[in-house]
Amino acid sequence: MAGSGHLERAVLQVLWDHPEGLAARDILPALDGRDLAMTTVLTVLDRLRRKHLAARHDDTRPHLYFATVTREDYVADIMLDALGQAHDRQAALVRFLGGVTVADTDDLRRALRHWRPPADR
Amino acid sequence: MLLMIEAAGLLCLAVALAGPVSAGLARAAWTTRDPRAGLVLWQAVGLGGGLGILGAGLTLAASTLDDRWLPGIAKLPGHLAGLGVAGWAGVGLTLTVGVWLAVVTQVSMTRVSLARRAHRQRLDAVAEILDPEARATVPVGGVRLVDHPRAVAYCLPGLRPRVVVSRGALTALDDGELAAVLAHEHAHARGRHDLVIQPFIAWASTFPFLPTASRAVSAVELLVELLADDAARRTCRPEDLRRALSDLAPDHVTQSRHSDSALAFQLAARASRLAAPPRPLPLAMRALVYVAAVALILLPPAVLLLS
Repeated sequence: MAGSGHLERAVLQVLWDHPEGLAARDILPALDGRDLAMTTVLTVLDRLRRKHLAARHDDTRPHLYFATVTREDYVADIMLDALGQAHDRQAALVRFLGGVTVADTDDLRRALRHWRPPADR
Repeated sequence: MLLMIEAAGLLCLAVALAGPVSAGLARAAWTTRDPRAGLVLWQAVGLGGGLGILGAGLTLAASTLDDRWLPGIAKLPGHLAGLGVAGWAGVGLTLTVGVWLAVVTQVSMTRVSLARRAHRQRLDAVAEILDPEARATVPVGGVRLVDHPRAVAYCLPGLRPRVVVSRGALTALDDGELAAVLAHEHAHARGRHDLVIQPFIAWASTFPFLPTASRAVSAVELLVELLADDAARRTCRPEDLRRALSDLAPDHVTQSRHSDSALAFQLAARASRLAAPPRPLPLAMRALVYVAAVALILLPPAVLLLS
């Protein structure tokens, strides 16, 4: 589905802006300028939960949605993934301009010590 | 008899290509003067070596059934029961190497494409697409920006490639440097350089005991970088790219630490080449390289078909 990544990103941004949690119906107006159906938002939230990026509190009414990782950790993890892959000859995932070193990834890994990457990796 | 000699010849060719020829090509200095010709020769050496070893087994088996190659091969499926020890050794060699090569290649390609897709999806969730207005004089259209202080620029290759820069890289690089970096990364994406490297990685993992295989990967990786450097040089100033290299490379890369020595070597090779570009290869020499590449692939089958 074209543009679904774009929507996931938008919803994730809204969740990041509201660390206290948001009900699905409050996410809709926060996605300003988009003409979306409620079901679309729920689908996107489901997809984010499957990716372990969002969680839902089931014991509140209405259910509240949260981002499970902070924006900083998520970005740091992407960097770690890219830098780590640069070492993995087998994967050859990315082509780096300058290349990176083991020490680089160690630095990032230290920064991420308290956070486990999402289980779907 | 002739066929048996040819089978031995093919095996020798494969061993020579995988051994001394690869080692020589990895050391050759001329490849940096024309990375494209160097890569074509590398591909011919790899393909020729692979076909050589597969062909050697088949030819050995065929030699037990007929004096001529094509009729011998044609008889193979119907005469498996009548094959002697030599015949089965040939069939076994071809099947073992062929299946192993196919499986390892498939596994390695699947692994890469899964890792890439996962990375692209995660990236797309947070990366902004850079506003073309962000750097007025630099063509940044379509470039993904990751909000991280570390200076990094990379290309995630594939059918839907992504050229990614971090906020740190945007801060560290001036307009000229950024333009050079982006030109370099776009060249990787456009040229599908990942497809050039992939077979060599598969080759190296098929024959992990061959030191030349991993040397081939390093050599091909360097040539691919040089190719992208050349592409960047066509639109940008080489000094800009050279400065960007040192801005993006962490300080300790330049000190020789064992784990980083291959990378340090690659960076040094690129930096000195950007500072003093080597003379292009003479036309005659370039033609010779391409002729050699074609001959490596076409000559063995031609000899076999004529015998």
